[in-house]
Amino acid sequence: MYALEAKGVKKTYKSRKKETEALKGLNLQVKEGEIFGILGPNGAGKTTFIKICSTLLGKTDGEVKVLGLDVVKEEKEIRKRIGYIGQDSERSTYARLTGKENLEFFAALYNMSKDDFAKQLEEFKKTYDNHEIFDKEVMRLSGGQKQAIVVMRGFLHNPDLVFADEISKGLDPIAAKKIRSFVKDYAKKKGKTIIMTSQIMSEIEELCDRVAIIFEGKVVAVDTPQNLMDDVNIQLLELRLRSTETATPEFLQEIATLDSVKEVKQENGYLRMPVSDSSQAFESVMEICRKYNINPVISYRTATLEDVFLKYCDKKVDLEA
Amino acid sequence: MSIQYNSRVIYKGVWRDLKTYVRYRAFFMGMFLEIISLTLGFAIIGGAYYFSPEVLALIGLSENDLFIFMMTGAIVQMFSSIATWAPLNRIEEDIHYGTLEAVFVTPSTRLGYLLSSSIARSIISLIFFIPLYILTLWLAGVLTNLTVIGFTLMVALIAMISNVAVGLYFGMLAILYRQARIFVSMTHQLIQFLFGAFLPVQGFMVLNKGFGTAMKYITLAFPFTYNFDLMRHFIFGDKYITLLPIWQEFVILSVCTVLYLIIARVLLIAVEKKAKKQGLAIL
Repeated sequence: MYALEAKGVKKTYKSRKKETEALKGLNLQVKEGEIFGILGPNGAGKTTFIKICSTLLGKTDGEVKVLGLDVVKEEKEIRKRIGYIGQDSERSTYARLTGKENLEFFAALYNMSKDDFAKQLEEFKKTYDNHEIFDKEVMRLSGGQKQAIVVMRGFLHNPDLVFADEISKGLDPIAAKKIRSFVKDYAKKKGKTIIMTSQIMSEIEELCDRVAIIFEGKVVAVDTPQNLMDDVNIQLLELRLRSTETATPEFLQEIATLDSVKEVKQENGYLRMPVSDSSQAFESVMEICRKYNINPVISYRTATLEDVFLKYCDKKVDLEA
Repeated sequence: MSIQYNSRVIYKGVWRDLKTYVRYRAFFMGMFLEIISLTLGFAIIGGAYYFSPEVLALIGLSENDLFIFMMTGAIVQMFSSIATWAPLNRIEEDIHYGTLEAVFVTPSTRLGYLLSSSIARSIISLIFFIPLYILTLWLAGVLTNLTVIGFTLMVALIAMISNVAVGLYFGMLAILYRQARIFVSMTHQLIQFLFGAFLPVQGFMVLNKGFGTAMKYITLAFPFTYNFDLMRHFIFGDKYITLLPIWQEFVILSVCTVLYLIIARVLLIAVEKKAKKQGLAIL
């Protein structure tokens, strides 16, 4: 059974002046136990889709089954079995209550017994080392700590499936890492299905078993992060010149004429060159550098998720911009 | 969903609000200042307040009763406005802080969730209600009359309960429209002045007989009118002339309260459906 099955999902927002088609026949299947990522540019329909699946928003057309249950007919049953971590949720807590009190309140809304709540709190404490978040009023916590409470709230009632919409949005890298490691440790340990959106590619790459890319209300690619990256044939050599060194036109010209180098782009102090044969290109470029007495920091990389994202979404985004 | 579960949601909502209010000193200070300014305001206006002899004859009071007349209005108003504003405030706050989605994604009762805000505010308001209430009873010379105390407290409670549904309607508006507060504020002002908080409904008849008669029938369809009227009846005793016989007022008030709550329950389901469909304020 799939944790989530969406077929031809459409959503149109209607206002007096215009109609906006947010989803245009979206199809997606997520397996049980997967951490599944959804990528897409702003306005692609990620949040709309997550809200439809978590019963907060109605669809215009199509079929959505969450944990085998129909999202319209069986919404109450779905609500018992899913967790939801909304976008901009860093503030979505009761500021004058402590972290523990916030969780306690929601435990009542999920009809958890006191024993279950106590056990769950202990589980959280084992996974998240900073215990002061439970005892301090939320208004006195940092953004990352508040977000930790919100993320825990999503997992509080031991749901089978958690929807997480940009869990580390606006957080500094340390706080974001803590949140990620909590999600990863907790979800893996408990074998939970998580469907998450993010604009942070490294987050998706680190956490997700599979990724879907949504563009203009449709899924345009689904696969493992590695397969998606392998599918984008990019080999890139990057040279960062030291402050005392200059890339003269002759130097650039010589590199550009190498057979293994497709082109040379000068960007923000970097020379970026897509190459066809990385080892041959590396040797040739180093030789030219030595000739011109240049000793750059040189790096080589293959496609990243960002390249995958750009491959599917960049062209039209640019046109729109 | 079981009664036990629904009660737990209401209890936890009250628990959350009480904890929040207790820790939020500015809130208490604000409420305290509001009561002081209200009482002082009435004390000052009370002396300058004037009802024509015709109006006074219609309600059976004298000029000396006007301050108490207004105080009774203020007491009832205090409770009815709690019920009116609490769900709206709750929803606005939850939209502002982003907690509404977190609540609405749970299987808990929406009605209970909104009711809990009214209950919590009522409990807090008791702290401020009691001094105002004692002052009014003392001025009316009924401070030691247990029957009056019993009945007036009952009316205050009924006032709150009967206004809960109205509060829920306003709360629903906030779910649908972000600017609901303006409409609610305007409606609330109208309620104050048209349904007898500070001006007797009977007085409209003096202004214009046709208008007065129309107003009388309009106001009789709403619970606010009876809240004010009954409170005055128990404070002033038999000299105050009520709009309808007391037993009729109690019956209509009870029917209104139950009916309004049933309508609120049905509307809440419809409003949530609409909000889900159109992605309005909560979404």
